[in-house]
Amino acid sequence: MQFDLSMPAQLTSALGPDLLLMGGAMLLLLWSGWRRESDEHQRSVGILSMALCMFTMVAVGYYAYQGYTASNGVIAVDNFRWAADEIFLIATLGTIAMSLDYNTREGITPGESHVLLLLSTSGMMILAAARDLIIVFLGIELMSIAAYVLVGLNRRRERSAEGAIKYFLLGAFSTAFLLYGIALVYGATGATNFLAIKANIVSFKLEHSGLLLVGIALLLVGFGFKIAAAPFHMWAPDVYEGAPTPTTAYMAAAVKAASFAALFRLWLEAFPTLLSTWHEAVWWLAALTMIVGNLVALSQKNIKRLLAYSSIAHAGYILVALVVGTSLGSSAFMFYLFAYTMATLGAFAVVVALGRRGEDYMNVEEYAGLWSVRPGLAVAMTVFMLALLGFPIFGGIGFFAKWYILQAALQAPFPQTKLAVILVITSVISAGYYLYVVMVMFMKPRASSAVLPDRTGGWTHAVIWGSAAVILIFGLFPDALVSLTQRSTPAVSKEVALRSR
Amino acid sequence: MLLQTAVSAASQVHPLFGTIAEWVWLLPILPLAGFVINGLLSLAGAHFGPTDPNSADSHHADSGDEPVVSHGEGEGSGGDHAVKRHRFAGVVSVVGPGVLILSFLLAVGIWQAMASAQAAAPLVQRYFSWMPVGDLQIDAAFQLDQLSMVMILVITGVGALIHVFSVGYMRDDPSYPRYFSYLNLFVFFMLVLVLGANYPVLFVGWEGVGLCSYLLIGFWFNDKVNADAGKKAFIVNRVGDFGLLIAMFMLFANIGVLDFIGVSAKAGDLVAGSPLVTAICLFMFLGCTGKSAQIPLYIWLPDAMAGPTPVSALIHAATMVTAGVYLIARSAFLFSLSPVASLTVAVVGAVTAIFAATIGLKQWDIKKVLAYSTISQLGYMFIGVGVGAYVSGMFHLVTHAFFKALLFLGSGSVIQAMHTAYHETHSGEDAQDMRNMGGLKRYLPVTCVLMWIATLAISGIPPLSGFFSKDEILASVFARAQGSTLASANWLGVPGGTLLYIIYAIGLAAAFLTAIYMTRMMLYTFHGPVRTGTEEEKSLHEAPWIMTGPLVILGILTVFGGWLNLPELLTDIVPLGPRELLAHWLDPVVGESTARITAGAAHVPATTEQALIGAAVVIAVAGIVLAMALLKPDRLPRKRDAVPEHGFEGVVANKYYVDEAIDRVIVEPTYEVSRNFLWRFIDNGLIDGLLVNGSAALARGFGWLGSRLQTGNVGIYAWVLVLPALLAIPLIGAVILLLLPVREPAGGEGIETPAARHVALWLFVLEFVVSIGLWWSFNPSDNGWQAPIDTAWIPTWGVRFTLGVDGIALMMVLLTTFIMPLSVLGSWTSIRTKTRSYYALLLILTTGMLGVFLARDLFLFYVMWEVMLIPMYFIIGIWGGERRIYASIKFFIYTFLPSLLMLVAIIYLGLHVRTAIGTPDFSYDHLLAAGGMPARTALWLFAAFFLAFAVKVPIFPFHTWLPDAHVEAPTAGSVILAGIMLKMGTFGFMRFALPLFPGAAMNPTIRMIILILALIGIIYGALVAMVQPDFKKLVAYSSVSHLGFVMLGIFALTLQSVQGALMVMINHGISTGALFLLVGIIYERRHSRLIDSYGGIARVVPMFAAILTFVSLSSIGLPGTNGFVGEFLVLIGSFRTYPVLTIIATTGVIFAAVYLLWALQRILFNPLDKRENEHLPDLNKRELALLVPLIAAIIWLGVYPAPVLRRMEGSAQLLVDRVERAGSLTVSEAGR
Repeated sequence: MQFDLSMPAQLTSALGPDLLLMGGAMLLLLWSGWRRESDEHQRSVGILSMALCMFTMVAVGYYAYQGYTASNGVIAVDNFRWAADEIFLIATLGTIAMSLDYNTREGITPGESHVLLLLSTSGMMILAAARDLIIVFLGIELMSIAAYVLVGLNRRRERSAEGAIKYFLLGAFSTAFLLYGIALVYGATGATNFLAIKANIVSFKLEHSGLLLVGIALLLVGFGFKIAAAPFHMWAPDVYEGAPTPTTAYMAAAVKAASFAALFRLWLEAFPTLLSTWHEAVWWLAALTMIVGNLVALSQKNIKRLLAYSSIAHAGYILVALVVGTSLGSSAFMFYLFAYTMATLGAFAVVVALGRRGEDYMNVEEYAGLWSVRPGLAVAMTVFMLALLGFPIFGGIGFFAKWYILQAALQAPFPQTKLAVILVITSVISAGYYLYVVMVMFMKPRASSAVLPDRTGGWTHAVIWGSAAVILIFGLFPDALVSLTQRSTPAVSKEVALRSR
Repeated sequence: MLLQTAVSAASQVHPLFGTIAEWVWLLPILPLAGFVINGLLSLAGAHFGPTDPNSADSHHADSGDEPVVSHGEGEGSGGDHAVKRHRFAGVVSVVGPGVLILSFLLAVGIWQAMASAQAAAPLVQRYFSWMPVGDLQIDAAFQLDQLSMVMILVITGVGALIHVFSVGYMRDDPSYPRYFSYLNLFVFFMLVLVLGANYPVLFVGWEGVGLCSYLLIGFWFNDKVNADAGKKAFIVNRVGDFGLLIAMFMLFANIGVLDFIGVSAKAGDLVAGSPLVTAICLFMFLGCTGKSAQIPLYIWLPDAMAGPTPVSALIHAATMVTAGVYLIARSAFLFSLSPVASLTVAVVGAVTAIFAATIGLKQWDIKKVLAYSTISQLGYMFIGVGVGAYVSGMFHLVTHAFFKALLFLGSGSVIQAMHTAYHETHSGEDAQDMRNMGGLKRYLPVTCVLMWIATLAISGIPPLSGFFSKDEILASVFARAQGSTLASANWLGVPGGTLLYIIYAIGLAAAFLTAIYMTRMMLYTFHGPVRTGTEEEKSLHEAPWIMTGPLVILGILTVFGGWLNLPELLTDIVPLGPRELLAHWLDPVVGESTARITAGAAHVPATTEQALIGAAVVIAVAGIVLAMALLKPDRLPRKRDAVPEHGFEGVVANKYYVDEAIDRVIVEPTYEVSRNFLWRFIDNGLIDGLLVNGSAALARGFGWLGSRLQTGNVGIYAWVLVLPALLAIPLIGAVILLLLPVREPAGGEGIETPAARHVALWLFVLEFVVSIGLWWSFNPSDNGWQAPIDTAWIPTWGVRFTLGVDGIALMMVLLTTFIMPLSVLGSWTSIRTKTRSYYALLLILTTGMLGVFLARDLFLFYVMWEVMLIPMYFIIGIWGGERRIYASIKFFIYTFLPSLLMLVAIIYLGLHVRTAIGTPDFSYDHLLAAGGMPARTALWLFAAFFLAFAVKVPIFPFHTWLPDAHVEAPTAGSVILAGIMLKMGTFGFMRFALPLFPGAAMNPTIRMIILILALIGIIYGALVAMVQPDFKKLVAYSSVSHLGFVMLGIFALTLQSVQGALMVMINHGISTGALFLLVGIIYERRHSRLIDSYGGIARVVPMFAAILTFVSLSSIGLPGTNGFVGEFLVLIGSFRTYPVLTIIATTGVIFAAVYLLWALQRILFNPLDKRENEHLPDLNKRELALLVPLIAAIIWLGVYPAPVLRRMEGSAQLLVDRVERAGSLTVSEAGR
């Protein structure tokens, strides 16, 4: 069935899953404010939030299964959107699950924290759907404002508050870039709709319009901040370190994924004809991000900062898929996003499991000899590290994700051999810090003063083993996932391949 | 081939067919049996006999620093011990000499059969095919002809006498059975040497006798001097063997055969006097100078006197040292073609004869005099065979065997008498120094008389044997000078005729000196006053009859030995007996060659001959008289009162300072350069410090700044599921292991349930059994994939799960399944924590390794390639040594970087061969078939593959991860790393890099670069290994050297070299694996891998010592062990395409002997001076159980590698053809 987006009722239907999540979140917000703050209450709101998430996932699945499409309009109805939505929801689900245990331990009692996550996620779903610059802006703000609050959730911790302020200021800063970029693009093309922008560029021959190019550049900078690509990444490590660990996981996985989804759609749908113009810039962004992220990560001692830099590095890898700019690139992107999300969630869940009240126990060295006391956690963490490293079998799906990007890079109309080599060499560098974590857990003797970590909460356990299982199983049989992602590409990207010939 | 058929047809009708001569194989087998029996008795006795280390040590601990065994001659038990014979001494006294006497009787029988049959053609007996590789067909075959018969009679006859003498001489030694086992083994190898029907079999004996010489010189190994001397003998001989190897390579490369009959038949194809023949002969002669102690390689023989005196008599006088003479006589068909080479032999012989004689003038040690005398007399023999008087050379060889054996055994009696005397009075005087003797004729009358006879014989007094043989040589020189192919040749600008006169003159001069120094020795020893000491004098007495008996027999032979070949001249005047018996006897073998040399020779008039004889006799008599007149034994001071000599006399007494010069010019600089430049500077400083750690620091610094079974092939092979099973068994096993209940105390320390190791062991045994099935079902004539399996894995990416095995993969799979159970046994007690995880990792590792060998899809290959990495990373990092973390990370990063680059290349390839619907295709077969890649692209892709494999191999300069990883890894880790994982790189070259990019790989520049890197690896690895203080690191560096041979073999790309490379891969896995296991075993006991922590432990742990020695010998490529087969094939094959590089590579053979023997000496031999080592327990049953299969494999692959070679041949041939065909364009453009 095809939605006619010019009819409000049909537009509403096309936004079904998004509205479901938003509406549910509102109800939960009401209910959580209804009762006194307490740990039990926090947990029940969390569990209901997870139920809502799953509901939404089913709804998204249903929409995808029905194969709905839509006429041109402000939002897109395609598999790219559904696939991205599912990834956000999985990340949200995981985040809420580990938050349940985390909040209990840290004494964070407001149940609204879970609802804020849901609201932020609904912003992401809007972003994934956005086919209009205004909607992009809406989505970003909806997602970000909830995220600012989440970062500062732990009011008692100074670092948390510092992180929240930093995040807010930089978020505002980047939004300014974004907004300015939107304005300039609109000024140049007279449209905010992606497809209209593309059409106008072609019909008015705007390929060399300075205004448009500056607009695109500003947009790239704005997104660069959101996805924490070098050199716009400076805020990330501080914010990641300051934020409550589940929130960090959420930011590293979902927030980044949503910004990427929007960036991909915008680039492939609105500016495909400008490939030669933006190609160079994205190329350098990718190369720089891979190099900087990986090199700086080497010297990190705090696990959260380490993972923050690792997530910067991964943004670089994903940008390689954007450089490729074909449907193959975007399916590689989707595959990578899934793999990365699973590994990141898992890794942060282990960090949550090993943490102690007041965000202690964050130094990698404190994991020394973990294997002898918590072998399960150590093995799981190894799987996540190897997945992030892109190692076959033991790192499961992580290897195939890298493989896919490499294949896309080499199969591109302009084969990106140099970028592939940079990717490979920086991956080797990343072995330096991923293996460092593994080495500490397995090979260093446990300090005699070290205390046993607390018992891991059931929900956290579920996240850890769930993501490990997904990583390993799809790591042996990735075929189903590959064919799914091959179908989850923005509709227009084929044209890019044709044009760039 | 035709030739061989003809020969075998001839042997069918050979007159010796059906006679006792058919039993020729029994000749060496008898002493071999003696070796086995005595050797086992020795090892068994070590455990229960009187040399039990504990009892000896308890005495030793309070009696001072003298080691018990090393008191020099004849007497073993030290201190106040009453003489305690070995508990098996009785049995040994029967078996040891018994087998030799039987052998001698058999030899006499065969000789009679030969004499009556009058066969002109040699009898060649083929037993089995030894090294069949393409057109190289080497059989294990014996050749019986007149020449070998002479040698057999000398060896078994004189050998039997010396064995009997030894019973009296050595009976009281605590290591008596060991002595006889070595002696029997020596005779075995010596007989193989003279019976071998081709050069390689001869070489087995050639190096084998060198080994026995090494073992026997260092028999009293707790004395450093003895151990040093043994090592020196072996290494100097190896320098010579290098020459012999090159000669073989040249023969094969130019005439394609190596058996004597074939070479002599085809020698005619070589141009007489051509540089090629001369080069072959000269290289061969280099071998002879080593074995027969000629200039420049004579330096080992005087030191060799450190061994027991009967050994000096048998090996270093009568038999082994004459092997060079035998070799030249045997190769007369080559030497007679090259006057230049022949003259060189004669010149070197002459110079050696006079040079050694001058040194003999000033020696005080009675055995040293005889040693230099032997060198000098060998020089005469070389003059003989050099001038083409092969019969005279052999004649002198025989008579010399009689009188020199007599002299040595006589000196043995003297020394024993002296030693007993000094022992009674607890005097520390030197029992071998003539200044301490004098007047012994009163106490040793029989010995004195017999030795005088021998002295007169060697001086050339008629009618004793030495007179006839020496005179015949000098006469031949004179005759040749008058006119022969030699006289008309030109040697370095000197006319041959002139040269021969000079040689003649030198020969006479040397004879004069011989008479002097021999008389001097007799005067100082037996005449004048007794200088031994008044107390000691009472204890001096004649040796028992078991010793003097053999002396008497040798005396008779010395007197009448000349009758073997009475000259025409004499028999014309006095009818003494049959004339020129030996010449007639040897005529079928050397007649033709002699005739070729003497062509155009004028007959020397009888008067001239008589004059020559007269001159020789006059000179000999003059020498004796002069010595008697000048030397005053009465005025000789005792040793302790002696003043050092000055001036020229001092220079002579110090042997012209040749040893010191060699030390200063060659040995020390090599050592210093290896240690300070190669190892400390390049390896640790440059590569590791600057490049490896530097880049890491740089990076850190920067950071601080900022399945569906759908195959069509099912059912073709009954074993279709065997390959998936091989991969699945370990994986399932790992899961089972991890599900085992843990019975471990909380906190992680303590011993887990032993079930894990049992489960792992049986799983690996099962795996091995399955792979044996693969071996049997393998069809050697099928070049394709066998037992293939092909299913889809990731269809959307075009990735398939395809497995298959060919000849190359088969061997690698078997090697893996063979090594793995042993490595479990090797970890049995050393891994005590987290055993479940440990064995589970070993199992997963196995799946990865087998997957690499079996994968037929590049994607699958890559996945398996990486799968190996993680378990090894954990094994090193968790169960490793102190610096395990550094080592494991280095190992990981080193391997990971290039393999990711290879991943890019693989993707590129897969996209290059896209299928019709656009999915990439990674199938190996499709990629091979596709081809058609731009040369530049192929070059880049090859570079990526090259890097990935080069690091694994490892090729210089990518090797520095290896020593660290090896040293830090637990034993099993090192075994697997060396045994299997290092082969991944070379396997990768053979499977992927070469066939996929033949154009790039065969590009002359690239090929040359890789070959030179391989060469650097061979030499560099050996040199750096030499200076390692840590034994494990030494073995690790030796791997760099061995793998260099593999690379050489692969890139030389001939059928022989590729098969050789495969053999080296297998052998290295077995031998180095065994070495690492042995290191692990000793480490478990002493917790030290430093070589300096040991010393002399062979006495404490004889079984360990025996096995370590054996494995080390296989590692340095001793013929008869697996190591030789591989290296020989690599080198002989490489010589065809890259002769110069191969010659350089062959020097690696020498270096290998240097570093391993030196390490062996410092661990097993030398004084036992560390108290911690005095109570080391010897091998237990488990350790034996794990080493015995390795030893069996070493022997099997060394003696009968044919089944392995045949199974690999098809695949190796396919590889060579494929690469050559595809790369031929590039190669032909640039030429080789």
